Amino acid sequence: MTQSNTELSPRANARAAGGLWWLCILSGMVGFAVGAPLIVANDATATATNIVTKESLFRLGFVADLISGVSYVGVTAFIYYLLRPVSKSLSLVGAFFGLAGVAIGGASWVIHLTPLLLLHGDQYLTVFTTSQLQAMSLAALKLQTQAFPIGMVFFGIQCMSIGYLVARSTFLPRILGILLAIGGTCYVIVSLSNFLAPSLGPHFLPFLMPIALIGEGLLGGWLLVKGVNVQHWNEEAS
Amino acid sequence: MTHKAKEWSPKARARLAGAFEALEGFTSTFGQVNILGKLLVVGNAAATAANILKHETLFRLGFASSLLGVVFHLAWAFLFYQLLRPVNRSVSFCALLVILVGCTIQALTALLYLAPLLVLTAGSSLSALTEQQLQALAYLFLKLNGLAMDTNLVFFGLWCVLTGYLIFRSTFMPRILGVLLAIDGLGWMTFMSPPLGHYLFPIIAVACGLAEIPLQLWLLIFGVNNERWRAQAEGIQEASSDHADAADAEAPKRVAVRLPLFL
Repeated sequence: MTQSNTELSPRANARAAGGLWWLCILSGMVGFAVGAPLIVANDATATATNIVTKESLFRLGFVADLISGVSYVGVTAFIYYLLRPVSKSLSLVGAFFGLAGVAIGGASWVIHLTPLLLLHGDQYLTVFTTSQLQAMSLAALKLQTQAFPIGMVFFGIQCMSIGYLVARSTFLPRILGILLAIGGTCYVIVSLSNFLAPSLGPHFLPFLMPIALIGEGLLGGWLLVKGVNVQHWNEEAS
Repeated sequence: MTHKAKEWSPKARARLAGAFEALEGFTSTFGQVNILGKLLVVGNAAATAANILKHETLFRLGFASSLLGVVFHLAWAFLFYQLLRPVNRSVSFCALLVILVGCTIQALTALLYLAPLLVLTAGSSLSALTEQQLQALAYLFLKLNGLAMDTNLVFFGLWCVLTGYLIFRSTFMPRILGVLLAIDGLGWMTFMSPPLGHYLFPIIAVACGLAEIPLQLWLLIFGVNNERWRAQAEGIQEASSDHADAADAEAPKRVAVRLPLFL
C-alpha cells in the first residue's frame, strides 16, 4: 500500500488550528494591553510623548499584532482543511473571508508604524511644527484602530460559516459551532454599529466582545486539547 | 484522453514557477531598489521631490514595474501551491494564504509608491501646505512604501519556512533546497522588527543568495521529477481514501523513493 506519511493527520491539523487560534487570541490581547495605554484620547502631545519614551513597548504592541494576524492565517488554513469534508465550497468561502480580514490587517500594520517615522525627529520633517507631527501621528493611530473593526466584519462572517460547518459536522460537538456562529454575528454587529452609530457602538462592545471570544476560545481550546473524532472525520471525508 | 493532455505536466509547471519567480524578482527589484534608489536622495526631501518631477516617466516606470511584480508574485504563488500540494495539503494551503497576504501588502506598496506624485503635482488644490511641507509628505510616503515592503518580507519569510519544509518532505525535489530556503525564510522574518531586519540584512542577503538562486535555477533547468511527483500525489489520494490516519494509526513506512540530500 503506497501511503504518503507526509500528510498531517486530522488530529494534528485540529491541534495546529486550535493552538494557533489561542496564540492569535493571546497575542492579540497582548497587543491591545500594551498598545492601548499609550494612546491618550484626544491628546496628541501626550500620546506622542508616550510613544517616544516607551518606544520598545510600542514596537512590542506592533509585533504582537503581527503575530496575531500571522497565526490567524494558519487558523484559517487548518480549519479549512478540517471542515472541507462537511462542505468543500462553504469551507473555502470561509477561508477567503478570513484571508480578506488578514489582508486588511496588512494595511493596518503599515499605518501602525507611521508614528515612529513622524516622531523620530528626522531632518526632512522640520518643515512641520512639532505639534503638527504629533497630530499627524495621532491621526495615523486613529486610522489604525478603525482598520480593526473593518477586518472584524470579514472575520465575523468567517466565524459564522465555520460555526455552521462545525454544527453540521459529526466529528465536533454541535454546541461549539453554535457558540462560534453567535460570536461571529456579534463581531459583525459590533463592527457595523461602530461605523453606523459611533455613539452607540462602544456601548455594545463590552457585552458583545466577550460572547465572541467565548465562541472562539472554546472551539480553539477543544481543537487543541481534544482534536477531532478521527473515525467520524474519516467517514465524512470518504 | 484529450482533456488530460491539455493539463501541464508537473515539470512544465515547475519551470513556469521558476520563470515567474525570476520575473517577479527582476521587476520588484527594478522598481523598488534600482529606480527608487536612483531618485531618492536619503534625508533630503527637496532633492528627492525635484528628482521625481524631473524624471517623472522613470518614476512611473518604477511604479509600474513594482506593480507588475505583484502580478508575477501571484502567478508563482499558485504554481508553487499546485506543485507542493501532494506533499501536504493543509500546510501547502497555509503557505498559499500566507503568501497571498504578502501579495496584498506588496500591492499596498504600489499605492504608497504613487502617492508622492499625487502630492507633488497637486497644484493649487493643496496650496494650504507649503512647498517644503508637500515635499516632506512625498518623502514620507516613500518611507512608508519601504515600511510596507518590510512587512511584506515577514510574510515572504514565513512562506519560505513553510515551503522549505514542504520541499524537504517531498520526494521530487532535493532536500537541501528546502533546508536552505527555510534558513533564508527565518532571516526575512526578522523584519518583524524593521531595525533588526535592516541590521542583519548583509547576513540575510547571503542566505537569500544561497537559497533562492539555486532554487530558481533548479526549477528552471530540472523542474521536478514527473514520475516521483505523480507517485507522491497518488500516495496522498490513497491515504485519504483509505480512511487511514497516519499519525494515530501505526506510522506506515515511506514507500516512495527519496532523492539524496545533494541531488
